[in-house]
Amino acid sequence: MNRKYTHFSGRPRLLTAILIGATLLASCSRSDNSQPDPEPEPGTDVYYKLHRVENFAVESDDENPTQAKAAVLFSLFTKEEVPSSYMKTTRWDISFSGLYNSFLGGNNGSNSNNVAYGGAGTGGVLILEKEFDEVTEIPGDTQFDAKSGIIGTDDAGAFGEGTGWYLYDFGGSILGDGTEQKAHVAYALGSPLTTNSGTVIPARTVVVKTPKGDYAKIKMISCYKDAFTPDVWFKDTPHMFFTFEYVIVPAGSTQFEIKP
Amino acid sequence: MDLFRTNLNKLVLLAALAVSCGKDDPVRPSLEDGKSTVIYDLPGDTEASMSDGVNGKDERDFHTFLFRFRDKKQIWIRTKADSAQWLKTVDWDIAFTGPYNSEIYVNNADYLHNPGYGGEASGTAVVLLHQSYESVVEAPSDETFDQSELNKIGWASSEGSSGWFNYSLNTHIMQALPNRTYAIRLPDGNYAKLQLINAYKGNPPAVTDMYWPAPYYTFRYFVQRDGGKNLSTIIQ
Repeated sequence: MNRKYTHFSGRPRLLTAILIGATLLASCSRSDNSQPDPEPEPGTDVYYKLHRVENFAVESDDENPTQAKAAVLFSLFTKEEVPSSYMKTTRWDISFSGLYNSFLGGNNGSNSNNVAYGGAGTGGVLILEKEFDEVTEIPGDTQFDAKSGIIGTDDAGAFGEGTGWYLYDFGGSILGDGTEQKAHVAYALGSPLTTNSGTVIPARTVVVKTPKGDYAKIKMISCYKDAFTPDVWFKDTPHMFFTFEYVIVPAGSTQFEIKP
Repeated sequence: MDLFRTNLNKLVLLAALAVSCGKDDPVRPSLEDGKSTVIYDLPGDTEASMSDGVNGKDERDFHTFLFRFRDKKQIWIRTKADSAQWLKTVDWDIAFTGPYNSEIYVNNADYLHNPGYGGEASGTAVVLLHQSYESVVEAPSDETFDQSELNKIGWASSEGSSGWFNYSLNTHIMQALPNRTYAIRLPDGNYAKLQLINAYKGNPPAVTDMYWPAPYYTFRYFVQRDGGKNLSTIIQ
């Protein structure tokens, strides 16, 4: 047995080498397309519809609130999380990064502050102080921000960074009743909210240019599990479970439309 | 969502300075340059707390205070009367707001969340320069000020944001970010530069006690009083 094995050992090695070579060639040509696996062609039936994603879960850890989590990638076409191994591909549309994975960004390969840097994506995000239903015009391409992690806390609350999709009520006194359970609550601004001092904070709508040039508008509804309205958001409500609604229209569109 | 409830009080905090000061370099460069105004340990709202169970502190929102560059006046906004007297005037330059008074606004009438909203301070703006304080010798162009979208100098959630401080996401160290100097167009039209240095008493290079007194602000600024853009603080 041993002898026979030894005798034939030379040729299998050669064959193996040839096979490996062939595999390398094949993977080279595949990586030229920057897609390791064939990507299912998204059907056009994704367009012009109202989609809803409930409780998209991102791991969070209150004991280590500032612990950086890897950016979580999401496809608006498949409505699923996309593995981080696809970070540099155009298979995902929005990233959740930064503190509590609560800061949104688009997919853009030419911006060094984007997690997709080096990829082929040409996307970005922006945020409007306007109700989801009222956002019909698609903003010009120059208005989209190509960086990752740029839409999060709103200046109306604590630690705000410009216009954001949520208001962080640090003391529970901006929107809460001052009780401990209403402190440290993150209020998604998908709908307008009235503060205790009477200020109306207009709803926010996130607009996304996808890496392939399509456009989406997103209404961020909640970051709490199974809790979609402010009255049921408390400090200890399980988080981060993103609930949002969106509409996608194809590249070249000028309007967001829902068609029957 | 406990964002900052835990980490500011509970964790061991280290405030790293914009100025590098390793253990083998015990002498830190002085903040004084002969031209700038240096404010040491200006007490913020030290009675408020971000979490309960801290001795002698209430868990409530922090009171805002205003600061006027020309005479170093600190103005507290604790009551509605305080607000009515001060907020909409040009009698202050910057406001220390939010948790730990860590979020700084330049007096501005146009931005909704600015304490000076609807007041008299028109045309003000702030621009982040990714340069050391010393190396900023000239204010940016008025076009640059006009186009700035920076409304508040606060927490920097990411490398791309414009805030003055950050937490190390790996070590929970709170730190002033290096090479962040803020050029300001003031309510009176003069140009200034500002560096936020520390929120901890004594401007320590390293804080090792979670109850290290805070907020006590150390910062420095220079206002060019002749209306020009020369912001050099290097004495020739």
